[in-house]
Amino acid sequence: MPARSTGFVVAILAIVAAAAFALSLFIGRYPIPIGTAVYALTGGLVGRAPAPGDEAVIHAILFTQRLPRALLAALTGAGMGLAGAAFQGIFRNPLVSQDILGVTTGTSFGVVLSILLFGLSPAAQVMGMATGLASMALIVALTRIRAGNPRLILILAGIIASALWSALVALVKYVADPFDRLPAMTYWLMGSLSAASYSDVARVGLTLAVAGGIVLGLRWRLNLLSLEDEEAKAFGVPAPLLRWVVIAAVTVIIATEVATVGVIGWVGLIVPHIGRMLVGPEHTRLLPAALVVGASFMLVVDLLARTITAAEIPVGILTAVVGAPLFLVLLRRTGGAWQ
Amino acid sequence: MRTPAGQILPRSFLFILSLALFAAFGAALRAPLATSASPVPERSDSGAIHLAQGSPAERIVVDQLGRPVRVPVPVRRIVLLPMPMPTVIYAIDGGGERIVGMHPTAMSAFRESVLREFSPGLEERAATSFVQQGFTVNLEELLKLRPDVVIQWDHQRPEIEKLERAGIPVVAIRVGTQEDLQEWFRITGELLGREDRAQALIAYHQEEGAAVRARTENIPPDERPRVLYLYNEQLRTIGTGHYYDEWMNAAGAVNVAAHYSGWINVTMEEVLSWNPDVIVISNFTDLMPEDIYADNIKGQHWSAINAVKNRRVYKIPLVGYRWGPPNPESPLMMWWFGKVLHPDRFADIDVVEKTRDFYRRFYEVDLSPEDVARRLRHVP
Repeated sequence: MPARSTGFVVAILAIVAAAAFALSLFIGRYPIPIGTAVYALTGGLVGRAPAPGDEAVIHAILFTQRLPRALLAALTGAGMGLAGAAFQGIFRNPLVSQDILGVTTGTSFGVVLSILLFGLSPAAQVMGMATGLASMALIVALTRIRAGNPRLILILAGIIASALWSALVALVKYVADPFDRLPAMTYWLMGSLSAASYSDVARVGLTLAVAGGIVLGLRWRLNLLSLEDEEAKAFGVPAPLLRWVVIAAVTVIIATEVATVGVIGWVGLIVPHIGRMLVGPEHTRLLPAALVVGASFMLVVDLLARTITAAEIPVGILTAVVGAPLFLVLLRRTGGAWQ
Repeated sequence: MRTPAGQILPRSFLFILSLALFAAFGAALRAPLATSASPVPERSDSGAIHLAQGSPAERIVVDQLGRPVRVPVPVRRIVLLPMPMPTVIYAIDGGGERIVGMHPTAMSAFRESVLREFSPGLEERAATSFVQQGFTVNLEELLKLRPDVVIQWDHQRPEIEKLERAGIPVVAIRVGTQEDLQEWFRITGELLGREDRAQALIAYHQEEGAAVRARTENIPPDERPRVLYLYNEQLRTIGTGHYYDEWMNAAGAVNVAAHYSGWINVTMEEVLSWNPDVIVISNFTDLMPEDIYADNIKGQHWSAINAVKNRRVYKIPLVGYRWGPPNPESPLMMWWFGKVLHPDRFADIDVVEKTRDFYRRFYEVDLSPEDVARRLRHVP
């Protein structure tokens, strides 16, 4: 694909993301006229002033709910898109997503255990991140058991870790109090951005800036990871080291995101496919595209999650409901083309 | 080989940087907004909202997380998430006029409650759609209800913080001991400006609880029936460390699961080895004593158990609320269960009359003896 058209596509994607972000600020269950919302968002620069009694509630909705939520949606979606694209690249497999190495289930275990012990509290995020990273350490240990096809061993280790954590999650849910702890766990495991705060935005944003920056910075070398390790070595790239750096960076991103918003599946699987369809499989273009497409996708899905019905719909359910048919359409168009 | 990484890298960092800046911008906006939102809008009787002249009336209520919560005076619109709270409001306010929203599960208990007959319109008036399973509310739907205060469980910290960021006072309550239950009454009384009625309810709980215990405290351990509380047909039961201890102890029972703590699922083998003298079935399931007697739960064998052989399986009553969890009618649960277990020691107690008396005093309604007997299911 020529470079100019790639730039054009990325510009369009950025505009779509900006539009999705704006929509997220203007649409919600509480009716706020667009003029009034613009007035509040610009600090009274333009737009129509709200009725005096409504000021407080409109500010509360825009600045404690819609804005932090839209920011968190954009950041988590971007992180998942990037993580999925990076993993599909290093495992050379279009069926892989960031969940393949068990980080998501590992993080889930920490969070549900924390809910069991202390209820919903900030401790949940700390414990979730801790077990997410511990899961990664477990993978490292498992891959050292014997040499072989490194990618295959990694994926098998991931399946082992994932199965172990899932069983532990089920165990914790089984012993949980059916009135308070269990519903909290079940809801959390389905993913939600409902409690988004600016500190969540800052934490996820900072992790994405650092770990995501590392992955993006390595994206040219990621192309070489699609080759066999020996071939990559011929280009002067130490494939195993590079693979571990990318895996570690993605682990940090995913553990932070899952600990903050819960389990949100599909995004990491489907977004790289959309990206590949738009800009091709080359990682220097694919990773930025996946970042922006992921942000747009999450913004739209979270908008649906909080507006379709009066109660919140867990966003993890919607990503699958929206993602599955979308994936089918993609398959029809691309025939599952990979390289 | 030319590397495009160098030229594209700064652009992607710029993208992330701009996101981070936007986040910082949003955070900076919060501070002035919080202060501009502080005058509490007061709703006049016509429904129009205007800012109160001078400093609006407020009071501070200390909740069960130990936090001082500023609430407007008077509280006119209240949203309840903990399931037993609607009946608490009822008992202390003498009605549910101030309830504008409640948890759907609380509403389903309310539909089965005798209180439904005495509160026309509450079912239609109170919103339930702002929350589903779990306690995560849709903030914008909640704000549409314009609540003066929201009552939430103490274990929902992120939810509490979310509402408080939006400027809604949240009072947290905790499930636990009898003292914790009495704190609910104290807090509700202060919220509603009904301290006298709350105090009367607390005194009722203290006096009646003590009266029940006075009849059971000197029962020797070997004369205390060994009781299994059956939450559902999955053999879920509860050990110690919960409110259920209160009425088990007061009524002179021994919980067969006492060596466990909290909620547990047990096996039929364990139930058989416990061989409980009495079984009480919760109101959270459709399971009835007849199902146990008929032994028609697949994979379970109840016929060998003492409670079944002696036909001592009972369904916990639901009158104003389910009598198992803590609620304003908990002393009645103690009387009822005490008489179920020890009919001789409670021979002079008429549980139907006790219930009618409670309803006259706190709900200001007259229940017919037949209605009470029907809701008790088993009149000891």
